[in-house]
Amino acid sequence: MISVEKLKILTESAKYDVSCSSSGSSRKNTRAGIGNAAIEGICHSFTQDGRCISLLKILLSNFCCYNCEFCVNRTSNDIPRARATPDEICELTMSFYKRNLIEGLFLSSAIDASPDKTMENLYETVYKLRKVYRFNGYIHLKGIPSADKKLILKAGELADRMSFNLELPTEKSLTLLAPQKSKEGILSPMKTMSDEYKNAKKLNFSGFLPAGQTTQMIVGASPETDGHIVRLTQGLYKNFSLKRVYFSSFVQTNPNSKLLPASTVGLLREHRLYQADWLLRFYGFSAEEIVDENENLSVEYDPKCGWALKHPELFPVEVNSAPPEMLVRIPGIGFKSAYKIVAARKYGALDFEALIKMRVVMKRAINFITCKGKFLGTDNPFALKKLLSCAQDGQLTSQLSLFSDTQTSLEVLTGQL
Amino acid sequence: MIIFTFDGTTNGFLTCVFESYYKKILPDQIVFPGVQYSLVDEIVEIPTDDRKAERVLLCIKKARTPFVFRDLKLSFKSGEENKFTVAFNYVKQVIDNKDIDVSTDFANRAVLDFSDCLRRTFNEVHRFKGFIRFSQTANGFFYAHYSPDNDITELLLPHFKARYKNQAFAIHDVKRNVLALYDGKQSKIIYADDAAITVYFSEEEKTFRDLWKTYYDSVNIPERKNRKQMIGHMPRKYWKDLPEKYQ
Repeated sequence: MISVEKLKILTESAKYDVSCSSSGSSRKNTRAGIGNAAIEGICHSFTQDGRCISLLKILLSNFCCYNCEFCVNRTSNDIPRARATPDEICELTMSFYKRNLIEGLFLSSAIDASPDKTMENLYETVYKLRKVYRFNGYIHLKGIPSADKKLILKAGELADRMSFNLELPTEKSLTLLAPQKSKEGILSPMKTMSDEYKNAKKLNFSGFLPAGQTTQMIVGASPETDGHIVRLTQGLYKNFSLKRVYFSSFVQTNPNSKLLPASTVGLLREHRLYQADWLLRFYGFSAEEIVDENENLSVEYDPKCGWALKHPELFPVEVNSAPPEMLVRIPGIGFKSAYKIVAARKYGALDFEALIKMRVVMKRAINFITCKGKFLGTDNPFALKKLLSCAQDGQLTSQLSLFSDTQTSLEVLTGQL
Repeated sequence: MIIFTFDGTTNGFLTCVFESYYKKILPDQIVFPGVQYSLVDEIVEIPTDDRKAERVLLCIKKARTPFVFRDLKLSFKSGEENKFTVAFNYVKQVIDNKDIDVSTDFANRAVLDFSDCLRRTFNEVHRFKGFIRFSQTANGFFYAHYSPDNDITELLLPHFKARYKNQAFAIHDVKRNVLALYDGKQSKIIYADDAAITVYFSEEEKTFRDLWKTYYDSVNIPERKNRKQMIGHMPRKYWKDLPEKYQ
């Protein structure tokens, strides 16, 4: 069994990867096997930082021959290093899984020797886990950029999800901050996987990456605008059929670097990008509706509020007749509320009292809706802006200060790739 | 207030519904015997009558609202004190509006309360799919103790059976002394009442506890401390059964 010390080193090097989701796969158990995947994902614990533990997130090795400016595992960084064997990882995964501590494994690695060698080690581990240990739980495998295509495709038949990290939003920034990586080396395997995924879907074959692909990029280490990032994200969903794009705000952990900004970015920007991401994925918005190409998302309003304020001609909306796709565009009304409204209004017209009874949050929504033609909000645009601003209720200050301490948010550093 | 008391069985509950219509009394509350009430309350004891229950069941099955009986039985798993009253109010809506499906009329208090009651039970089931903690016993099988708000052991069992097909386990609700047992082939639910249950853990178990605690502590980012969020997702009441939270 792996030693406590090794586990500590390899976990601490892995923890900055933001993804910990175990959803999207419904892999079944086998006759002599152990485990299955739950399509909705299951959280097994929560750490002091409020994040969920769903998977055993660990690196196979944190010895790295690359020297990416922003990464804790960069070769020039003086930190404890360790390497685990495939069996050590498999045994640990099995013993945690049998005790219901995890949904599965999130395995990654620093570039130990070469991309091909690293990918081979990752593949060997996952192969053993599936075939020798007969593990049918969830596996999220990090893909190594520029690694052999055949190897990556084979890995896709074993993992539930794979991710190649984009790292930075433009090629220019990537070349500058991660000189040993290339846009081609990241995008080309992503494309390979996405094509294979689409083929598998067409053939109704669920054995290839049932939970699809994701990626991650650092925000604030380079000069790109939110407008650019949101468009890039939309492109990734459309062209690479990604399941999720994760953002992680830049944190300064390499104070000697002349290429990185001097200070850490607060987490509000990351939060706003995630809000925009939800609008793209679930609410039917396009990037163009959310933010102009050369602009950043508003600090003061969430993106849906910002959009609604720009379109006074579309509001107020009558809740008793609006189509569901318009209901979810009302600030303050999400999917749950929209569902309840659509279901309940079949029985009779709803008034404000009914909405409150159904626990629809009225604070923002009241300024954008009518019930049976009645409007109870404010239609003075100036008063409305003030009312909706996050600064008004102190939310902004607390969100900004929560993470703006430099030392603190060691956020980004996708310890890995 | 008018209060119906009954024996707590499904047929007893259905008899309450029958008597309410038959006697033309609308009870304010329906409770288990033994619940405290005040002197001014009017208590009506309803003796269980299987034939009356059968007639109500038939009536429910004929109504347009689907899955009422299944949902009723689920609602009885709730740990909330007013569950029978909430269920009664819902059944009344179903019967009074037997030509329509009332199940999604969320502007109707009785429907909303009932659907919330079920949702809270399901939420707890989902949570415990994650928070159940097994430890290996000296006999080799895996044992977990937990203390849920609702009586959900039976609802959790299928999930773990599918997952640990070849692993014998026991899930023990220590609050109600209910156990789900699975031997790798068959499963059963046992109401152990007052019987004391003792298990001995295997010697290796400490190694795994230490590894898990190490993992739990190392994967945390101390600089991002956000206890409020942690407690929101994993309320304190569950901690006594989670090894990573033992002090």
